[in-house]
Amino acid sequence: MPYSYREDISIADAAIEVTANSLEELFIDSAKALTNTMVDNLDSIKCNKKSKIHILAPSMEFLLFEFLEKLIILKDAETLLFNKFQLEITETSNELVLDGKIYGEKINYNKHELSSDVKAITLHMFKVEKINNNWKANFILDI
Amino acid sequence: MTEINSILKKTSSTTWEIPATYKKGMRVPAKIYGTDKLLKVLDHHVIEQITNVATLPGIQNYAYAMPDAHSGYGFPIGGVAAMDIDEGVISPGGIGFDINCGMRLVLTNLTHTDVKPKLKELVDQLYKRVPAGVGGSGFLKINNTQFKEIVEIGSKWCIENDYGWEEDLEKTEEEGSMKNANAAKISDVSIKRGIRQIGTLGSGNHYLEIQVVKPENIFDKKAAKTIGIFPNQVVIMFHCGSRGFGHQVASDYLKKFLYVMQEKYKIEILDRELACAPFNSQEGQDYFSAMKCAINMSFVNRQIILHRIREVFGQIFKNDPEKLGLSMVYDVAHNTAKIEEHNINGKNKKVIVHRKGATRAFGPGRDEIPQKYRSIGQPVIIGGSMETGSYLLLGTETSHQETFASTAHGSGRIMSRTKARRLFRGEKLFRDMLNRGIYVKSVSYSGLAEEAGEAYKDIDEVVNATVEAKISKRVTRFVPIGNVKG
Repeated sequence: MPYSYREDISIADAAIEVTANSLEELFIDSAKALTNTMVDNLDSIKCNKKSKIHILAPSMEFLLFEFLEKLIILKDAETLLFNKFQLEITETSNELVLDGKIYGEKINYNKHELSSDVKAITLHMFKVEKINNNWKANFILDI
Repeated sequence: MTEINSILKKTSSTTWEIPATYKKGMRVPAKIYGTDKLLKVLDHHVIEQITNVATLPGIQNYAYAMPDAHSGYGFPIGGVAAMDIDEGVISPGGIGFDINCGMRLVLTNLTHTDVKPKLKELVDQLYKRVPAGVGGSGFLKINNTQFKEIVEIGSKWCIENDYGWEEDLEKTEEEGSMKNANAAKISDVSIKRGIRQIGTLGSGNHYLEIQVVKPENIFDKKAAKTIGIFPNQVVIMFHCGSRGFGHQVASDYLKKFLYVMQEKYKIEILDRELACAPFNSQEGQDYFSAMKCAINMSFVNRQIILHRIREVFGQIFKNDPEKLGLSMVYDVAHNTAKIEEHNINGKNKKVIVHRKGATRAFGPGRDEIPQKYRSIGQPVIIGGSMETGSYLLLGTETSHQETFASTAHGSGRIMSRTKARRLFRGEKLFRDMLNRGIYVKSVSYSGLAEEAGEAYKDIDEVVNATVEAKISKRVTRFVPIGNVKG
């Protein structure tokens, strides 16, 4: 699993560390970690709904923050959970851009093994960093 | 413990201080409440977080951590700070993402003997009628305009629409409505997140519980009688907040404050989650108005849940909820910021009191307390873990003098959710609890395992600390018999 829970960081909520070979992978695995916190079996989420993503942010940290927040908003506003992501990150002169398509389905109590509801992504110890040729993200989800 | 002992100075059997010299930028010392036993399980992050809080502009007297404190974001959960109105700041991190997360306690005139044969049916029906867990949607079908109206007027909307009794308002903190809530200050996204969630419990440590008053657990008979509590009585307690709506309000303003805090107001903070703005600035006032909307939404959420509870009890016991005595004791918020008057250095002064995972605990005589309780003090509802028990306490005069009229709010976690899932199996926990007379209906067994009693501090010890410190008085302890978990 490209992500792990950091028990030394948060006891009340879910502190997550993600490592990846590329930024896009980092974003995808972060999104999966978020969804996996709410659903035990990610494979139970089928891809019959599609949403488009277009996010602008001044830094890589805020780009990931806004992306994860978008998934939480879609979960509450449209009762959608996602497990497939096609993402592309580009850079303009003054901001970073995340474009992509995300796939998932409506929450189904009978089918999905639901766990804890994620209510927010926090900025507490939020970090995105490049270490040698890999990317690492740390963030805490408010349960 | 050695490391903690070198930082904390014990000033009484239940108070520990950290001097303002501990960290650069501290404007006041920090004070942690707790017994020796609680200090042994204190999450070390609390020390760093509460001393960070002590650096915020305008903070008065002390930055306080209550006996149930554990690490949060910016402020610890269980953190209390009062800021000067003119010179101080308001910080979403000092209120919490789940704005007006709180507790409601409801009486019945039923005894354990009356309820026991119908317990499973009651819990199963409550589980059906009060949606819980990921994506739970309430029964209210409202449009954006109605949602805005609801968050501006609070619980009064429920009474006007037959979702409650007139007397419920008096027994809700702020009478269920923070004045001057302004829906123009909330985002469309926050409305989208909250519009379907009124009347839902949520998940995590949120719950709806049926509890019993054992005769030996009534500690203050006079106060219990005033409140309407008697031996072997069944009561209902629930814990939830402003759901996704409150979280979005907090997130929206946290980001706004980060952009203006340093550049515009030259405020330096030690943790991004302490993002703040001067209380009297445009940004500070905008957040205050938006936060009041979230406070009101949460009061409405708990009022609608109470409506459903009354329906379920009425249906199962084939009687009017009034005749079943389903009256509220009180509704208390434990994630708020409020303007209050407190005596500071001998002078009465208005301050903005941040309570994050801390309960307002006014002593006897305050006008803010319902007439029924004015002679005994404000009811304080302390939720324990689903396996152990909960308490009804009262605010005291000492809490006014020492903690800006604040006390604990619950048990406080001591074990991570991941570790709890590793150590406990939800199915086994369910069966063990059933054998002990507690029937639980939960969205998932894994979620149930996360909330095992051993994952929390000893509730009795937390309450002992508040009582010994004289910031609360014990009225009664409740033991769970039925529980709905998200």
